[in-house]
Amino acid sequence: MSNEEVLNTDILRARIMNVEYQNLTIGEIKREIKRIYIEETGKEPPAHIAIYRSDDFKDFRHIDSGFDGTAIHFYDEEKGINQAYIITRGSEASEKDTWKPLDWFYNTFGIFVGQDKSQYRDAMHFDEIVTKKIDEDLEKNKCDKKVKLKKIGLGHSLGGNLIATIQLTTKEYEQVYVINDAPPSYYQLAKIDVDFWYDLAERFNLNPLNYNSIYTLPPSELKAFAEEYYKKQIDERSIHHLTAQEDLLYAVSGVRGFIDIGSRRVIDTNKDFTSIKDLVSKISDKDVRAIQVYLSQYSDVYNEKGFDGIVQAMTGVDIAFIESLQGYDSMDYVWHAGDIVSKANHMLDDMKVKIPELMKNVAILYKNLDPIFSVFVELGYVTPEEKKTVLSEVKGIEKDVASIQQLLRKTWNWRMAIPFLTPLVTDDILQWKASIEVLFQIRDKVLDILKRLQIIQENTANLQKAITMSVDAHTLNEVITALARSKGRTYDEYGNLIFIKKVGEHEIRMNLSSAVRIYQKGLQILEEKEAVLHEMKQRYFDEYVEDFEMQKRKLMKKIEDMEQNPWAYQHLLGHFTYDADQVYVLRRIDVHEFIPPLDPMIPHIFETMFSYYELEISKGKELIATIKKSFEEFFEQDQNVSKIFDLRYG
Amino acid sequence: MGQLNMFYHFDVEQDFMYKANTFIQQLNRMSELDAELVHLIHHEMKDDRGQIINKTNEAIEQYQKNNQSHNDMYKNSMRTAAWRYTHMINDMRGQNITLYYDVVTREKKR
Repeated sequence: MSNEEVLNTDILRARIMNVEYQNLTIGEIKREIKRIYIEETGKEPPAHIAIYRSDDFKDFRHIDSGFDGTAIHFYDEEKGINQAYIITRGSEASEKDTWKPLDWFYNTFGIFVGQDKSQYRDAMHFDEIVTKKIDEDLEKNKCDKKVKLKKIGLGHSLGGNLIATIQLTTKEYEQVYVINDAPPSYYQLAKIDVDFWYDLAERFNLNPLNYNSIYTLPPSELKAFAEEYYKKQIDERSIHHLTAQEDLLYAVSGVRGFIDIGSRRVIDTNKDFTSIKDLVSKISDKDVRAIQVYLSQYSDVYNEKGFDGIVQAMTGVDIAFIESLQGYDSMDYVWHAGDIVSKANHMLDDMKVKIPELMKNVAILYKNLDPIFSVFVELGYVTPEEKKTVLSEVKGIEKDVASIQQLLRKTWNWRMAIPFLTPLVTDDILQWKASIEVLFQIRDKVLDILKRLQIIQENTANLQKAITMSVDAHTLNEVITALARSKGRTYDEYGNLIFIKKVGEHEIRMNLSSAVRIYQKGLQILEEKEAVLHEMKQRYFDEYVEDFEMQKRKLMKKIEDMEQNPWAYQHLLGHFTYDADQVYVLRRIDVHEFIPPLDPMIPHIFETMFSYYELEISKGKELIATIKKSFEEFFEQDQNVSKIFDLRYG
Repeated sequence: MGQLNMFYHFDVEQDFMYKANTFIQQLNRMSELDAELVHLIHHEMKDDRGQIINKTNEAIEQYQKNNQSHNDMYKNSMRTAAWRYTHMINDMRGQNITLYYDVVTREKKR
């Protein structure tokens, strides 16, 4: 009755956290958890696993903070296990129902600036309702509650920030494990934790009603105060950080705002690359803020659609729609008026929001870009010529965006929106054509921006490589691969466990997860074939052997009836008229019955078929067993390999 | 007492070919399961290379090919079995019988 942590290794926790990013159904999540647990421990997982997702609670269906969370409840009465792992999901590429990169906005404005606590609030609420639900479900299933529920927090990236911040402010969990987390920020803690804010205001003589006064304080003093404050509030040993040396967030964690509480294990995920920490440390505090915002946006779009997606997201211009108008003649505009109106309105609305925002961002970027690129040149990430080209192209983008803004104004002057809003207008074709011409001009400007971005991309190849490596190191996949490497294991993009063994100069890789699935599902299929064969044998008995006996019995009954009641068969002697002189009267009937046995060809056909399938199924089983045997022989030292094959993934 | 030998059908002829259908359905299920097995192995090994993979793929393809030809053959056998059974039962329903009768002369009323 120890209730020791079920997920008790970094690799196990990292792989389970990674399942959260795969958007699986509850059944699939359970199967994946079982599989991962078996693969990593070679043991049977706890008897009862329940999954609770924030999306499944009505309170979370319509929230727009971007929060996503999952709780895994392990319960095993026999083993004395009663544990809930609350996982707060990391930054998502994009939210399911909106174009807004809410998570990364939260990273920037919630953590960095400290002015948004929506995801923290939602994470707290999720923890509350899921704890209550677990308790209710234990009650409902009449589970023994002698073992107290142990709660453990897990989080990656933004999720790590949320769960660690909850721990700092509420001490809700026995342990918290975070991977490549965005560290808790004192700006944000001051907004969330009233006690902290009042202590801080008192210590630094601030007006507690004026939050913005916090930005005037020296970051190093604030950091020291915040760390000392929270080390007194909680047991520092309850927070564990696992960090990739090359991680983007780790690289920027030295900048203003972040505190460091808890133990930290740093791992090397990429032997050929260290970190962009040197780059970040050389940039001034003021410029770091700009680069951090820039990198957050880059990471988001990079994850979502790659480089080309940036422009679409920034401008709101639907290039595909404008291109589709190019082949239209006058009448086409009339025929497709409804569709054009709807799409153009949608696009113009989108642009109205995004273009001024883009204009603002580009201007800020340009202002900060010169000093930042000077550092890049100094560190050898770009050459002076490349810097010059990039700055000139960014200036060009600023001009192009300004032109788009001009064109947008022009569309209002030409009352472009009016025909679009009235699809029945068919007499003002000229006005329509003029309006659409403006759309083409906007498209051309956007294409110019694309060309400029292409040039910037070409001139920042080394820099991008470093950032990409940093972004990659941030992902759980990289952390998992690094953790597994020392054990001679790796994982593919689908989370499959690959065993690696060196034989001479060759490296042999064997996909254990696939092999186990083939073994287990293969056996299931062959068992189903056995069941079909069993049914066939039963049916043969019913349809032929038994049916033949029944047919014989039926016939014998009729024969008996004939022999015992011959008068009933008088008609067999013919019919006699009433005035016939002579009549034949039937006295007796003898049936010379000949009942042959069942045609021997029939049992022969079936028996041959049955023995073929019996042999064939056993050959199939042998084939499947060969796969297991190959693994066992190849990895004979690893005792777990053979156990894994025999434990059901579920 | 007179006697008459004849061949008598105790029941009407019946077609038992339907008996083949269920077995054919079960054989189809066997084929589907084979296809599932092959798909499973191909799917799981699609990104892998090496001797074990090649041998497994070869073996499973051979396994399915062999099964498919047997499966087709057994479907025909199921029809043959049903056909033979139909004939056997219908033949069995016809039996030789002997009728024994008296010839009775009726007296005519005058």
